[in-house]
Amino acid sequence: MSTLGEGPGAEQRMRLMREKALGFFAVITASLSHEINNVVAIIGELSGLLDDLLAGTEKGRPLDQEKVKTISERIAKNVKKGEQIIKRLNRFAHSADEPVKDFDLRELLEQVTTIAQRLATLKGVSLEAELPEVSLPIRSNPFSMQQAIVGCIELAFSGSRRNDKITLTFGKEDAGAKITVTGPTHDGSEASQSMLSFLALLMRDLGGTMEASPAGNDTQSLMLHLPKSIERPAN
Amino acid sequence: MDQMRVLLVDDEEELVSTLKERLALRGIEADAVLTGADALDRVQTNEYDVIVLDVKMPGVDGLEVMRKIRKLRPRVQIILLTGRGSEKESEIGIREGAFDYLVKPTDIEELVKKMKEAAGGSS
Repeated sequence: MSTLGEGPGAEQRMRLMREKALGFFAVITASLSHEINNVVAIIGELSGLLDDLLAGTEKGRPLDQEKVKTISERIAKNVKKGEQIIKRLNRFAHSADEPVKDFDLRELLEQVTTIAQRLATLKGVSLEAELPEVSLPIRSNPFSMQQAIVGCIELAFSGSRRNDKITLTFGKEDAGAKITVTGPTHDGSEASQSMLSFLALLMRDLGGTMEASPAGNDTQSLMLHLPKSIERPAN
Repeated sequence: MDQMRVLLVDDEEELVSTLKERLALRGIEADAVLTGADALDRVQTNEYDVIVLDVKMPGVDGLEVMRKIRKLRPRVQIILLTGRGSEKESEIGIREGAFDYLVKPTDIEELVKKMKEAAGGSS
């Protein structure tokens, strides 16, 4: 199999891969940092409310201890939520550490679905995932794999209307795994066509393939076929 | 000036309810809604002096909500709430008539100050 870094147009392909990877990294880190910002804003308001209540006692207002306890619990809950988002951000950042590594595909699918959830919410669509129950060791490029999955989800976004549904399912194949993103058919725009071509390129880099098939009225399935193992970065 | 009539619009339920409570402790009674659609419903049936509007809400463009509100109630003053890095959208909002914008997390005293300035301008 020829690699992306060889043959005619290799330099252009490699530049495209780098640009798209950087763009994807930017979108995801921006999204996660927005989530963190929201949590910080909530904690800030809750601690501000505690200050307000304490300031009120100086003016003779009685302190409602039950209320203070509730606010304190809400702060703790949001701190935990913030920790989880930071953990996801950290995992995502480290997924780009090595071009190929051993990892659990189930964990990766869980992570990418949670990350994409906010993007879906902002679009006003729901994202549901049927994840495997057992761990699935795989040797591949986790960063590119997330990029491919989110790319399929973004294609579905392009044709989506409010309250549409996107589902992500997983299946085992002899040679590896199949990830299917089913949702609204993409809008056919130049950007979507370009994304489709890019995804095909990305899947080639992952040693796999992508196919699209209609799944009903205005709905399509994008299937990513991934090998169980790639021994080295394809490029 | 009479009691300021305020509407808070933000999809973060916990943020908006806490903000509402803190404003109440400062003598400002505010209504709060979680979606742009609910904000438009409220605006149709209620008069507000100031609307504090989150720019990024699920499934809706905050600026589009602002445009619709301004069409319904041209005199209402709108303060946009934005996340860090989304200031560009708020600057567009100001060009289109928003009173000002604040970056989350906001300082309550700063918000109250802006709300009073805005309400003063609308009366």
